[in-house]
Amino acid sequence: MSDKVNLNVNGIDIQSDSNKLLIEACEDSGIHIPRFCWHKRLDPVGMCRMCLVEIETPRGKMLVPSCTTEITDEMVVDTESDVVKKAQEGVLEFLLINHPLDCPICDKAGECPLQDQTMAYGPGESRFVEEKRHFEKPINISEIILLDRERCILCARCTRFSDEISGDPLIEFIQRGNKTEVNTFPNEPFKSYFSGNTVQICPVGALTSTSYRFKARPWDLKSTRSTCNGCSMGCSIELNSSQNKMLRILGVDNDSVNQGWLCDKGRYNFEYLNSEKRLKTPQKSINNNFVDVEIQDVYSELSEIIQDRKTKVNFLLGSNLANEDYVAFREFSKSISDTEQSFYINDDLLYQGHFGQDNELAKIDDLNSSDAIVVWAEDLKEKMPVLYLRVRQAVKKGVKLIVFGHTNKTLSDIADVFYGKETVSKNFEIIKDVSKLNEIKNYVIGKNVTAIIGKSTPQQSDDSVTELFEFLRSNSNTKILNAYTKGNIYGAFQTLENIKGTRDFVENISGENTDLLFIVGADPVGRSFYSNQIKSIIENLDTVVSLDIFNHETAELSNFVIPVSSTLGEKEGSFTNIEFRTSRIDKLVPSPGQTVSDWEFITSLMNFAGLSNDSNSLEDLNNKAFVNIETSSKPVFDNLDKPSNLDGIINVYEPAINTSENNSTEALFYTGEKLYGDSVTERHSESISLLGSKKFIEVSQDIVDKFNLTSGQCSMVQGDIETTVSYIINDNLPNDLIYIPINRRDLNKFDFSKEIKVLPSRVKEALNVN
Amino acid sequence: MSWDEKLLKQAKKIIKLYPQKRSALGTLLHLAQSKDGYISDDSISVISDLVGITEVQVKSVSTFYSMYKQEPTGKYLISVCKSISCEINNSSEVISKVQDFTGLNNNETDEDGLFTFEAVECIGACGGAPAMQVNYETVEGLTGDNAINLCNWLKEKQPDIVVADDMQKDFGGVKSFDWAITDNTGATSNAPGFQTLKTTKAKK
Ligand code: SF4
Ligand code: SF4
Ligand code: FES
Ligand code: FES
Repeated sequence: MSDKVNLNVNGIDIQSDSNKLLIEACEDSGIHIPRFCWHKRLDPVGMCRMCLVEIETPRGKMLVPSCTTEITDEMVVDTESDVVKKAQEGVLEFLLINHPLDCPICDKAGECPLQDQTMAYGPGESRFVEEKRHFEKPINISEIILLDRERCILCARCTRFSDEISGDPLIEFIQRGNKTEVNTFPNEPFKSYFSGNTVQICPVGALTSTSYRFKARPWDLKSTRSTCNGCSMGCSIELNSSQNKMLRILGVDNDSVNQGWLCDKGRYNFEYLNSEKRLKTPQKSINNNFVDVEIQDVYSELSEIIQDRKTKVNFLLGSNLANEDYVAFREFSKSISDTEQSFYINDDLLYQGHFGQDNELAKIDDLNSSDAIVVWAEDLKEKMPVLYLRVRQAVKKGVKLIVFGHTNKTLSDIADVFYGKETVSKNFEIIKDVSKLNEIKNYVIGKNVTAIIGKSTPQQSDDSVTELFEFLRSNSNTKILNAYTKGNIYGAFQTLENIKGTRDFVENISGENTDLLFIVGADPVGRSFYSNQIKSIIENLDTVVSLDIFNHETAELSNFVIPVSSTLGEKEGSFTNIEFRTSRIDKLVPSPGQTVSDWEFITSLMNFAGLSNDSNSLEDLNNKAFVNIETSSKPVFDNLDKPSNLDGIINVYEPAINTSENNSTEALFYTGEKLYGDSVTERHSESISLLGSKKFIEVSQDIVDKFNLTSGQCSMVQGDIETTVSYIINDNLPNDLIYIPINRRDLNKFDFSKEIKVLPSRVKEALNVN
Repeated sequence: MSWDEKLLKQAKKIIKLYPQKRSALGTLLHLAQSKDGYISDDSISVISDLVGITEVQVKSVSTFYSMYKQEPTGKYLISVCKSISCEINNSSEVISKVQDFTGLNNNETDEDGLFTFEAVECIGACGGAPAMQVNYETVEGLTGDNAINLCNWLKEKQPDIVVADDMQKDFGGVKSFDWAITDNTGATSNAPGFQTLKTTKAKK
């Protein structure tokens, strides 16, 4: 606990925690000090001098930068004296001598700290008559980020962010003095998963994104607060639109979750909303041709099917639905069947996990306060980028990081201990006696541990992770974050009973037990470990109804395709993240054509079919969402909308996951997903598609030797399927293991339960002939 | 990697002298410069690998200091002081004469790679202003004409080692400290002189 300190600012007595910087202490008491370089989530540097204030010292009054001055007891501060004003005018005059003053064509104008503070504190006139310095107007420092060095005021926010927060310092100050500029190394672009954050925190218009550039003026924007559903982190976001088009997403500083940061996928994977290719009318497949139909006709055809009580209905639900959508499907299934219904979630990695009374669940904030963090899960940087940032932050504070698994490359770089291929076998079994590992003894046993545990790949047996977790639980004070990474999967946990994954779907579903299948917001044929099997199952079902935003490989196999609105920005509802924190999803733009929400579709169908239904509004569904939660602060809209609850409400709830156990022991491949892929929404978001879904595999050195791979390219062959990919040698992989990122079309076409041949590239040979 | 085994070995030895790898950065940049006469992007990539920071971070440090050259430098780096003491004692004449002689603007290198000219801030020889350096070997008490003579001599003789004392004797005037001990070590390259990097050596 820090002590309180008393200080006097502008004649007013204020109190603050002793470890604060002067600028922060003033801010907390409502006294605003202008600043450019200081940012509450970055270390102070004192670059810009905009925050100069006067303090009383034994040698009289003195100007100090308030962003690097720690407060002391009895400090007397003046933030508005004539001297301070003169200093502010001077600083601004200097900052503007080289500034191009091209506000009329600058994206930042209207929300620009430099513009605003010049208006409020500037001198009004410049004495600088010399030539300003010139740079080539914006240069691309990555596919999606542009830099205009003439506008840059050298505050070092962007460079500090990439060094301190994201840990990929690919931009830096080059040169010195008057020549200083921000830049990248030649041919080494600013390829960061977090680059968009620099655009957001740049206090001028120097950094801009191709996505938003020249699209709108701040004063034309409508905005609302919502939650990103890109992964189960659930970062707080602000949506911006103009003329009913979504144009931008900004990070909102939610202290317990994302602290203002977003990953670039969360930030830019909204562009698909404006795509021309979106589904706009319901469609029915007649002789393998899709024709537009009226939604009423769909309702009536489906009604006939479901009114027959013998019809067996199943659901394969995506992980991007709002909680209320899940509830609507739950209510629907209750109304058509008396037996308890299973819900299949489109997740290849779903397994029982560790919930229940014996297991204490962790909050994200626990990362900072534990002694050690143990991770064995999918690569966090690829799957939950902002959670990776939070782990990084904890590590910087001194928390020990222990990473298991040869596949977690990005975390292993910052880990104190990395138990790679010597400890974890090709089959994802820990092959050493964990209790004998020295570092575990030192950092873990008897300590406070936050464990981020989940399966890394569908082939991994459930036992292997359970064993590690059990060990941690019995030897230390362990809290667990069950690493299910997909979108609103915790919302599904909170709202549905009897949850299963895609593996169970493949094992269980057939024409025998399913007459009608609803596939909602999911494209497992286009992107799943089980693509092939799911495809053949779907092909053999009587009636398949797909609800989605775009047509895709799964929808193409369906009998009906219903265009729906996106959970991002096109509907209201709630979302639950990895720590069971429920927060609000809000609507900002209308959805196109005849789109409906998933819940609207299914409740309308119920009404049409005359099924008993007492939840006809979003509020009804929301109230029903949390029936199992007995608290006064249920995360229902009424509570979530209170200003004090904007950051969400945590309500831990034990989910009913009923997957069958996976004890497979042989892994021929290791499949996973990279952050960027070519899923249907990514393909239609230009920024994301630029960031690349290059087809590649990672291989161990011995595979290169064994198959005589040269030239960086190889062919993968299985029966008739053949594809050419580039390969990267990954020293972390055990011998004979190949990593295949399957969120790329073509790469998920293989049957991963069977052998795939890897050959030197034939394409290359063909090229040689020419 | 474009550094040969020998250089890499030397680099690794240097890194071992520091508690943290990245602390060796400054010395490694000097090593790179002793090899090429400037810091090439190739060397930056090698150093970034060696000390485990990104290339642009290395670039940032190397461009901050003006004695790390970003471009190939002539065999003789002529640095004429333009700071206040020298300016008062007519360094502008020295500068313009040297520029006329070499035909170079500030920070330019001639086509033969013989001279690089730069006008620099105080080189710590104010007592003997105006002063200049050839490969960081200082000559004081110059006149415009003497500076030209010096350049001429360099051009004709093209010595492999330049020694401050020798040049001072032949071309210099007033010295800041005339009681300093004589020193026959000189510069063997256009990179700052370090015995360990063999950029400085005693003349026989
Ligand atoms: S680009 Fe923006 S954030 Fe980066 S140093 Fe310049 S002004 Fe600051
Ligand atoms: S980390 Fe996840 S929730 Fe956060 S912005 Fe990225 S995709 Fe969205
Ligand atoms: S905000 Fe304090 S120096 Fe920039
Ligand atoms: S001013 Fe020229 S040497 Fe000091």
